[in-house]
Amino acid sequence: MKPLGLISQIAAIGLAIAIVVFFVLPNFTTVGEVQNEIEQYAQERERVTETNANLAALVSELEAVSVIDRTRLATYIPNLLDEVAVLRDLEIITEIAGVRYNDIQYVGETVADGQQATISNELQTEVAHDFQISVEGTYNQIKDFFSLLEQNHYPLQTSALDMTVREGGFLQADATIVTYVTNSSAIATR
Amino acid sequence: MPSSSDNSFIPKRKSTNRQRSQPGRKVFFVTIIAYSLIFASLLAAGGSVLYLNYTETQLEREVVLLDAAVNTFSVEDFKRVQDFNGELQLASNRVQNTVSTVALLDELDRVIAQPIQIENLIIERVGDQNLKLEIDFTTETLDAALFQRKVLNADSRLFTRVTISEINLNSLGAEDEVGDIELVPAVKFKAQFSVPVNLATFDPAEARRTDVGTSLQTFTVPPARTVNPTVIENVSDFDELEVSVQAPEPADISVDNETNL
Repeated sequence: MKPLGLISQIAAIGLAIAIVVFFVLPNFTTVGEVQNEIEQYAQERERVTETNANLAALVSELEAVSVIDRTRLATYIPNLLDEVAVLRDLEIITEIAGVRYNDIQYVGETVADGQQATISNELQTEVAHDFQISVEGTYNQIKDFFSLLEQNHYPLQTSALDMTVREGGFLQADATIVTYVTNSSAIATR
Repeated sequence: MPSSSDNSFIPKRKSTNRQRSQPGRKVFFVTIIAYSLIFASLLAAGGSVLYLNYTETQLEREVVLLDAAVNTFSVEDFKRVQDFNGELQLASNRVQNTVSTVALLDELDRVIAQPIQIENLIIERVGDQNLKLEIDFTTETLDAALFQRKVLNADSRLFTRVTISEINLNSLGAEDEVGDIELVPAVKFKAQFSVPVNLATFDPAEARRTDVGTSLQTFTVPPARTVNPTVIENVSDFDELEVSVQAPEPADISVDNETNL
């Protein structure tokens, strides 16, 4: 090995230091940043994979729901209101309960107030539709009528009731019945 | 006799060991260090470049894997699950807030004292929180009214904070056994109270199926036919539908029963 002169030695050492400072260290810094990115990407990939697995599990759960149950759910809260069918059901219920109806009519969509808004979730909202019904009968018949309303396949909930005594032991009940749909964009007609 | 070598005219060199100078060796060590540093720095530079390339390759691979994972996410499935979940939540919320009017009437049956009659009953639902009840009672004595107030306040699981108001003492005409009309005292009062919805929710297990007529043994109310939304295929259909499905006037759709039972 040929010995270097003093200036050459200093220059070599300076060059080495310059290489380390201006090239190697920045490279290592870049490597560190890239490794951080790799870690972030790996974490995100893990999250996405986990989300995909969860979604697959939910889809599997959804597929496991029987058609009958889905139909029941769609019947319980349909997307569209078939007002004529509801009127027909109310008429059938009055017949079975043995009460005499004076009037059954569709009132319309109820504007959601603050309390109703709280029961709506962010994705889907429920819209109430009112039906007005006036029936006459004995106390037991009217109780049967409300019992049948409660057992219906879709909600027919009593939001207001005014029951008065009539002659001959009969009662008259004027009730506002509410049913719900998930979407109020249209009302179906047959 | 002197030796022959002493006679030589060539000057003899003394056999003393000459020592080499030390400064040259010091320069050589520094040179080694300088060479080492420069080689090491070059090696480090080369290594760092290779490692940087390796990590960048790894990053690209991670990006590709992430893209693949993101692409496997099905938005349609997510929407399906979301919709179904929303429907379930709405249905669950409705079921949990279904008030049983029959339960209220049964409770009234239980807590209303015998000599007291209800003339008018008004139930009004206030959101999913409360039911406001307003009952007009009539009885013959004030004692019965006081007793009823006590029973309503103390014995009812559902009715609390009962307010009795509008107490009136009247005389009503009533037929006696002979058929003559005689005046009997009547005490009328109004009771107002509210019932939390969660105390009067519908319990399918307690549904009064057996109380209803015999036809109820196999009774099921036909479910309302729900209109299939898939019939709406484009926006123009929607507009047409909106025109055609306007709610008819109440008079048009009301069902008036002309025949008596």
